[in-house]
Amino acid sequence: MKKSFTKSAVRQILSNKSRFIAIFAIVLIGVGFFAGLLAAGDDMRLGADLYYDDYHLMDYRLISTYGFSDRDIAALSDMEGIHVYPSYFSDFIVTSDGTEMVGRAYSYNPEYDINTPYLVSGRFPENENECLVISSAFSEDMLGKTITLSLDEEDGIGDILKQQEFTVVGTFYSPMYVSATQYGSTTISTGKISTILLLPEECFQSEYYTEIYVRFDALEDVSSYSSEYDELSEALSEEVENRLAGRTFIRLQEIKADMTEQLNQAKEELADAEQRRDAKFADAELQLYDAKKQLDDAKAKLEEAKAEIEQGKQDLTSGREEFEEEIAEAEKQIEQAKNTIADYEDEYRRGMEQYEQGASEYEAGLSAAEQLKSYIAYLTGIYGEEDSRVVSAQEQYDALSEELSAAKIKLDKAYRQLTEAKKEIDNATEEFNRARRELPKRKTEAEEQFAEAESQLIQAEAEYNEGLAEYEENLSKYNEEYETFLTEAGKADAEIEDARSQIAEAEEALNELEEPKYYVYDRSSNSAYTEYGQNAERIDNIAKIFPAFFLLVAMLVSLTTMTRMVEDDRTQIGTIKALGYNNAAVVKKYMLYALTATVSGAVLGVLIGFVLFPNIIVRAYGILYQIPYVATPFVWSIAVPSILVAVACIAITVWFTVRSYARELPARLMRPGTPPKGKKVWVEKIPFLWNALSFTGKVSARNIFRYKKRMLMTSIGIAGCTALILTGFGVKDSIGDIVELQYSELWNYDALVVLNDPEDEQSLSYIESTLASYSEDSSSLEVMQKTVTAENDSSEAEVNLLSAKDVDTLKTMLTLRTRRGHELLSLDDSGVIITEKLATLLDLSVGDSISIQTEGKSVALPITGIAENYVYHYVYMTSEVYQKYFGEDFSPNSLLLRYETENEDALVSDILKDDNVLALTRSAEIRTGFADIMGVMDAVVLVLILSAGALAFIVLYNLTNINISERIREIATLKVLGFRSREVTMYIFRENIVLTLIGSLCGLVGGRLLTSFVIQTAEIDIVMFGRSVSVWSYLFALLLTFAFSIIATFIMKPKLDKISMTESLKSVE
Amino acid sequence: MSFVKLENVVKCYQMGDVTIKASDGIDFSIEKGELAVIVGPSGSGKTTILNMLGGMDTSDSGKIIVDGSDIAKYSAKQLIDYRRFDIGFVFQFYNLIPNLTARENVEMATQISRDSVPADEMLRRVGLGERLDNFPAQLSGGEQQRVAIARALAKKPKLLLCDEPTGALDYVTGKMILSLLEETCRKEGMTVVIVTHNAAIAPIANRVIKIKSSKVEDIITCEHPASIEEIEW
Repeated sequence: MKKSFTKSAVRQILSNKSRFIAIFAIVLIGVGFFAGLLAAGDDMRLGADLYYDDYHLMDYRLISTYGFSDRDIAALSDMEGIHVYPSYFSDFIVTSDGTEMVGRAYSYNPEYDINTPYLVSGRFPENENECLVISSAFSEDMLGKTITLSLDEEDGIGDILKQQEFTVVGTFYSPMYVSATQYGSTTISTGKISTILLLPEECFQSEYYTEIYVRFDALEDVSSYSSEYDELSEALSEEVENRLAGRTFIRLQEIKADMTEQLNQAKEELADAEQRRDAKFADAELQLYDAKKQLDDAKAKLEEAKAEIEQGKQDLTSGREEFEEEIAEAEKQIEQAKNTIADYEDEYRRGMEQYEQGASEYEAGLSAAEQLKSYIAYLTGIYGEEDSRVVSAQEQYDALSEELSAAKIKLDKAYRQLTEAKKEIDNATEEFNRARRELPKRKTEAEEQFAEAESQLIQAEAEYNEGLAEYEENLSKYNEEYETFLTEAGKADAEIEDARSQIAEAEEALNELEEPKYYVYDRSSNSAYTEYGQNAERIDNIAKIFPAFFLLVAMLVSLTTMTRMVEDDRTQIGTIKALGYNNAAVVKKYMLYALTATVSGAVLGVLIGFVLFPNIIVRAYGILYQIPYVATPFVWSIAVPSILVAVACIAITVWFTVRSYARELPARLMRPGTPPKGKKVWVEKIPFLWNALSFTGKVSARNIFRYKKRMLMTSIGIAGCTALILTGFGVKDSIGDIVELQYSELWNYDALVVLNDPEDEQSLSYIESTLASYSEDSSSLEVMQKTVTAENDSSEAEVNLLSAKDVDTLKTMLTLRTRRGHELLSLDDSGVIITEKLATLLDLSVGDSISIQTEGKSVALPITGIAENYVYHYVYMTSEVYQKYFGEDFSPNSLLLRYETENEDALVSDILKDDNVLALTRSAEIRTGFADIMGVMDAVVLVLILSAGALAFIVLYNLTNINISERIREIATLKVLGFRSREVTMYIFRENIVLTLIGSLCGLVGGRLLTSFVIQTAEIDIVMFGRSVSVWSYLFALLLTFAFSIIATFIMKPKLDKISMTESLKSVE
Repeated sequence: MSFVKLENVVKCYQMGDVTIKASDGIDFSIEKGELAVIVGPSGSGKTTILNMLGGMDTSDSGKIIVDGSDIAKYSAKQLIDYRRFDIGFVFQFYNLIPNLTARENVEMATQISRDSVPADEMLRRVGLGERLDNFPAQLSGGEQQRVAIARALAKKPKLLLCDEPTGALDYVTGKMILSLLEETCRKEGMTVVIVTHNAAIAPIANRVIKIKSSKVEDIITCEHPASIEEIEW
């Protein structure tokens, strides 16, 4: 190139600074944005990769059904470049300062170079009692505090850990847990892990390692998230799996051997225990038997004594009675005897009297006999003996004599008898007297005897009572001992029984023991790892769309700029050509100019872009992800193509602009170009419109239509900016909407409770009453929820199936409606309602059938409605439909709760107290979590809006600049004609305003389309971003565009004012 | 007192390190209703005088009195009003707004003035009654210049300033324009100042002010100027 030519080119740059700056700036922003956003995704991955490499994130996590032994490790360790580290983990309830949370504790071995914790504060544990806690769940305040680990069940923790209390000595980030909010799930307590702990490895007491971490040098050499990584990882994963597959049989034998040994040991121990127990209890039983016997003896004796006492008492009583009877008898007898004696005496006296009477009668008889004898003798004497009279008298006499002798005998006898009686009476009287004398004596004697007997009885009773108390004491002692014995025996028996059943179980288990299953989980099973990658991809997607837009606008700007410049320079071009330079030289000159601007802008853009955008984006994601590394390197592989693309775009633009001029004949070029002719514009053909315009309005209208190209360029440029701004706002709307729509409008329930046993009436009524006690207006609904797979020919999706019997209540829990028109959908027995994103993914519409895979069967369900939904996929159906199509009973497993309370925390913890409640998820919590994630998107959106704003500004600045420079003469003339500064300004900017209006209105349409496109690109499968863009966003986009337009105007105004009126005197060039 | 009077007007331009005195103590006056021609070779400083007289530029010192007011003391704002209401300007290259019709170009001036001649009437006066709705591109150079003159006169200025009004025109057309200007001066008593390098025009003036090297070389007054037909160039 000729020297003067170069000089001219350099001077051209210097003399056309504003154009140069325009191209420079637009390229700077375009390329900066392009390169920066492209790099942002990569930088996100790079920072993570550096972190993963430095802190040795495992490539694989191995899990087995039986844990791992050292031999498993040995089986892997001869692979090339492999590092294998065994580890333990277990889930606990972590209590600190009285608050409980569920935590997962991992073993920490400072010598292991795997999943190394990144210490955030404090220090590493130095002894068994110290631990680290993940910094996202705990602040530095935790340092020095004590945490307690426990399990749901009372015991069992001893099998896992040596101790339960640990002192927190540090907080850490873990490459395994890059998510700052999600730590996965567990089966204990609430089911949601909310903290991660690192405990010294020696605290764990486990026979087998619970997991093995594996990493490969080869994988560390390739970038995480790259396809190379994925491919290599898959290959290595197969190798690891193969090796482990070879282990299964051997491992089973090992385990069996181990178990058998243990079993035998256990059996032995059991036998020992049994023996010990038998011996121990035999002794005890014997002692107890003796004691019992003694007690029984004592009891018998006591009973005897008691009987004796009773007898004594009875005897005494009866003795006394008898005695009294006797005395009474005696007294009676005495009385009787007294009477008898008296009677006898009476009789005797009467006998005496009779006797005396008889004796006197006998005497009388005797004397009569004597008389008779004498009479006989007389008579005999008279009459002789044979006389009848004598005989009769004799006879009479004889008879009398006889009678007398008989009487005599009788009398004698009576007399004897009387004497005898007299004697007897005397005896009796004597006896009676004696008896009477003896009676009182006997009484006294008896009383004495009785008293003695009584006192003896009292003593005996006292003794008895004492004995009884003693006996009872002994008895209760015995009973206690016996009870103790029984319990102990029971316990011992139970223990032994337990041990026995354990052994039995173990034996059964041993028999049923299957080959262990080894699972090799690669990094993709780490959801935080994967999500982070997906987020980076989302940025990639955005980077693919937006920067292209920027480049387009940049091309547009440079096109108008260069066109103007070439037009300005037409005489000069003509002169150069007249001097003999060829077309190429002319093109070269402008190429040089444009490319100097482009390359410098692009280079600076790349330099700024590489630092600015990744930093903003990586740091925004830093809220969600704990990756301590921020890497914003200069990436040649992005920088060079970015610059080349910019250069190519601008070069093509310049080529097309300059070429037509370069081909012109010099002579034509040296004449002034024909200015665009003034002519009537189409608006003039609409009289009412045209007449309504003021004079200046007419001028503007004509001007706008006069420079069609410029009008088009400006409009497109502004439209682009408005579109970008609207897209920024639109994306923000769409994302921001999700949370609000999903959790306020669509899901009206406040919590989801997963139940262990849904038929537990007690539990259900407990939940009901708890709800009612906190909230006046509350309700609950039994639903069945399960995760199934829905598929079509080409794709599949994980879907939540939700079925309920009570459709009316379901309506209060969920709003099923169409997104457009918000028509309520009714769930009936004719089919299912699916959510919109699912319908889109699987290309389904109402009337189609959705194919669901569950538990090995495939079910096709007719779709009756497609419901608005933003998070996850759902298939809603009635219980009837479920039963009909799945051929299973409808068995609810969850409850949807709706309540209104200011004390939600208390309510939730009360509900969780019920053992039947496995998990409770609060809508509010999920909502907050989502809002956090969306907050990050806000930052990205802000970048978009600001960049778009900057772009809008540059476009407007440049176009205004061109507009002014094209019309300097006109402006100068206006000034000479006495137009005021404001009038001149308005003369020019009225056009800008109209163009801004037209452009921005078009931009709103374009922005709406772009928003849809961006959202669909940036969206992940399980989420549907909102599809509506708020009126405010349109308004903001419009206002911002106008604001930029006005700012550009204000910046341009001094330039307008500076235009010298003498310009009007110059000739037309 | 003269209608226009310049007293010791000095104007310097700083061109890098060099200071150029574009006006070095200019003194002249023009009476009301006169047709004055300021003539001088290129670079003599005549345009600077025109600029200052037209309120497009300010002087460094001296007085520029127009109709009794010293516009040299005017502020920028006052100067705008001065240009707006008191001055009519005719450019060498007509400086019509290309996308306005002849009428509209005139209207553009009348829109902003207090008292004006209706555009149609003005255009008819300059002989363009038939071409009201033509755009500048559809008009010949002379016609365009006539539109420009119509535009300048429509707002009834105190002073009509013309910068090389014939510079871009052929001989015949140039003469027609000159006669239009002369006619305006004679018939309407308009004070017309023509700035030109073309000394051949000078004879038609009442007053010829010759400028050379930023100074007034000579002022010739002529009671009976030559008619347009007489002059030639």
